[in-house]
Amino acid sequence: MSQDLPETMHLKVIGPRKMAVDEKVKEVYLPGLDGYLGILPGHRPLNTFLGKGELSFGVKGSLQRIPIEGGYAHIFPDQVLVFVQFSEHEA
Amino acid sequence: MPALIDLRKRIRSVRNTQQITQAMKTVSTAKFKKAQRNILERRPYWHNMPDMVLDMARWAERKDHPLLMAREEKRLVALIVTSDKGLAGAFNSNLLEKTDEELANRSEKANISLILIGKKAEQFFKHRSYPVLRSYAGQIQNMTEEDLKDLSRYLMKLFVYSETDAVYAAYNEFKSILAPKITFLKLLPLEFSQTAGGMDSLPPDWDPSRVCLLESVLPLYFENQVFHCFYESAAAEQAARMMAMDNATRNADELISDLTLLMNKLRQASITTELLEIMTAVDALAKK
Repeated sequence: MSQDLPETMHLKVIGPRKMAVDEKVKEVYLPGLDGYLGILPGHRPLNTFLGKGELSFGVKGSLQRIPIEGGYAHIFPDQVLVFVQFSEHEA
Repeated sequence: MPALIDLRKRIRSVRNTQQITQAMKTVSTAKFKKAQRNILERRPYWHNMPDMVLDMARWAERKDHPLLMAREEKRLVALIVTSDKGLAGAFNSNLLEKTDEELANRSEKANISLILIGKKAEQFFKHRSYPVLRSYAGQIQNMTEEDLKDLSRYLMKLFVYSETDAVYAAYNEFKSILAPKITFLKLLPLEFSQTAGGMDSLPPDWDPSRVCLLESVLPLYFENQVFHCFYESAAAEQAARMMAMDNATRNADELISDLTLLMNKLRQASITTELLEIMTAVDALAKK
């Protein structure tokens, strides 16, 4: 790709009754159906289901983790939209 | 001229009414806070979901999912969300008037059926000719998420089985405490622009597949739209009632002060008359 890759992505993690994350991050790891997906800025557009697992995100070295029960991810080069069902204790 | 005693009675009755409106205001304020918290928690989901769903739909074809099928609108269903109770100013009447107008515009071309939420909608449409498929009158307080899911499944079924060609919704959206926003919009079929736009026109990957994802996302999206209509209306209703009761309390205050003034004037006048009478009598006696 000739155009410059974005340095960060805007991550939104949204549950039915709560917006858990709304910030710029450098990396995101999502529990896909067949294993974890690592997303870096500039990822090609992807729509996918999410399975049960741990969603982690952040700037290199310091990752925050959120347990989720599944959901959908809508991924763009500079944006990651995640709709999830949170695990019981998180909600 | 009213008698003093009548005025006193009136003031007392206005004061009683004021106490009631004041209490109703307090109650609706508490209910409004709860309803507002509910929609503020849910709004991120409602407001961000179209970004994903409409973008997915943009890459899809109409035949990929039955909820995307656009047909000529020969039959349509309108979901109308009002309140059970009145005393909320023009909350219901404005919405019903606008809805009636919109339906009248469409009634020439299409057969319209209704789904009504709230007693006010039922009362209003009782004398209209539209058939009512379902009516949730007097149930708003007890309606759970499960009931709304059931309603959205019912609407989707009507649409998918071609029993209707479009689903519209009319409701008050909570914009600010001062006034709700009357909304009349098409829920089904999903409206989206097929022209690719935005920041990238790279077609997305789908995991597992486009049809499979749409099958799961679209019903969820529609269900949330039904939630949106219902909960926004619930918050707007409490806000409207709060405002109406606040106005009523203030009007009562004004009325009481006007009546008190009038009563004082009357009393003053009667005292003056009595004094005059006495003085005249004294004068008359002195002249003798």
